[in-house]
Amino acid sequence: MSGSAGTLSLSLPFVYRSSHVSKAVVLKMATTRAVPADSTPAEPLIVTLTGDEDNETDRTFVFTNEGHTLGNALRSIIARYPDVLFCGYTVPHPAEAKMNLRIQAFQTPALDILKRALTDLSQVCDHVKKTFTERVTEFKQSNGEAMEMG
Amino acid sequence: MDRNYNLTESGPVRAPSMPTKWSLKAFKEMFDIKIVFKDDMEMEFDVIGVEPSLANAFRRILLSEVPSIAIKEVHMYMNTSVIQDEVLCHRIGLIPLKANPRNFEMQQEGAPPSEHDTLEFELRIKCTKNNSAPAKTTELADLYKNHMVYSKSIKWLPMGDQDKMFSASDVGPVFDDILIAKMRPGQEIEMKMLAGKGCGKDHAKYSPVCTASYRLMPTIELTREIDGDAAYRLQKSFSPGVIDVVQRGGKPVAVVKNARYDNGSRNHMLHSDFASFVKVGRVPDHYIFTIESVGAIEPEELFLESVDVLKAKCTNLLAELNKNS
Repeated sequence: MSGSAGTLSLSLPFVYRSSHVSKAVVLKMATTRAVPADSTPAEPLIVTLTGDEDNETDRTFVFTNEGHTLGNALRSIIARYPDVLFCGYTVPHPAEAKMNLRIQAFQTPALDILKRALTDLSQVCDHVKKTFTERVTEFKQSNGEAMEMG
Repeated sequence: MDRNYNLTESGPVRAPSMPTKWSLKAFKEMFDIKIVFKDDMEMEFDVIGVEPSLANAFRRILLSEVPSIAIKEVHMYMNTSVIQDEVLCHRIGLIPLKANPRNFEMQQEGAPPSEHDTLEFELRIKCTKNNSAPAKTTELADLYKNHMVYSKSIKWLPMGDQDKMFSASDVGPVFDDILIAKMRPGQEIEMKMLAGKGCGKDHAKYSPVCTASYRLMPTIELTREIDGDAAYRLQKSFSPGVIDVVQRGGKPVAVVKNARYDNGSRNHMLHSDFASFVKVGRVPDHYIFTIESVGAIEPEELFLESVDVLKAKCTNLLAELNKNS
């Protein structure tokens, strides 16, 4: 327990200490890692794994600071594209914030498929936002009317 | 290839609702949202026509990637209470703050706290004996002053120009009656706290939702008419409002009124006379979302934030990919 002068002293429970401000004990709450969203990360966001240099259609992409949230969403879109032969994702180790996404296609370059999936997911988000905002406005209006009538 | 399975009694059966080829047009046709209930703290709405991965992405983002403000550094000047310094700090960190994270930036690593990314608070409280207590009382509230430390004792210390932008009620704790510590006469707590922006990935105290969860819409099908006494037993074996008993042809008959309120208890299986005629399953693409806000941000804004976060991920990654190629 902290009292005065920064040293651990056995303080009797009912001794009234003056509120003399002395050396403060600074306690920084432990956080696992700082995730500064606004600054640029030291590692690149996407990297390609080696082994697929002989063609453009097969790639494994390694995403940093991503996991199941983006991985499963992207995989479920890519797996239903017509030219895709294989699509799967994995989080190699839960302690590391990396996500591997593998795309194998018949003819389209894998990078183009990934770009298309990101664009599609982005448009899905736009549509979800638009629909949700409309519905919330409708709900507020209809409930506002109900409250006026009732 | 991805499939969307119908969960029925007999096991997974592929649902025809999800087309095998992905198209934005098909998604837009099938997608809908229905708001069921909304107040300041809680919201229940249905999301129809999404795949499990997308619904789960929104839920995961709500829990861990929508930022909020919480106390992250404590300068402890005096703590003679029985609560240890670190325990007190842990409790202080968990107190939800009303400050809107959109008005603040993330504090950069190693940079000193500034008015753009930090809020400063202080808590100074001393427990004393109440000399004007009625004689022979045993009520703690009469015997002592300030023996319970509540979150209403946390005072905001504006930094720089913050007092022109916010008021104390905009940035203080969401609830005034959160019990932080208990003290006895002679004990004193004095500390200064710095609050900053973070997200749930880092520490659960930054999660803006009490919890955000979803469940699938149940379906109940009666394959044979269940009448008489069995109808009432069937009604009792489900939650109220699920099964209705109507008069048909002079006898009471069970009818599925609203499968939404089924809680998945499967109590109907206890009755061997009608257990095999009740088919219980789930609609594979109808999600009933419940968002309970901690109090800082309204639930509808939270969902919009989470969609924004997912969109930002896509945009940033696309920019990165286009930059390299």
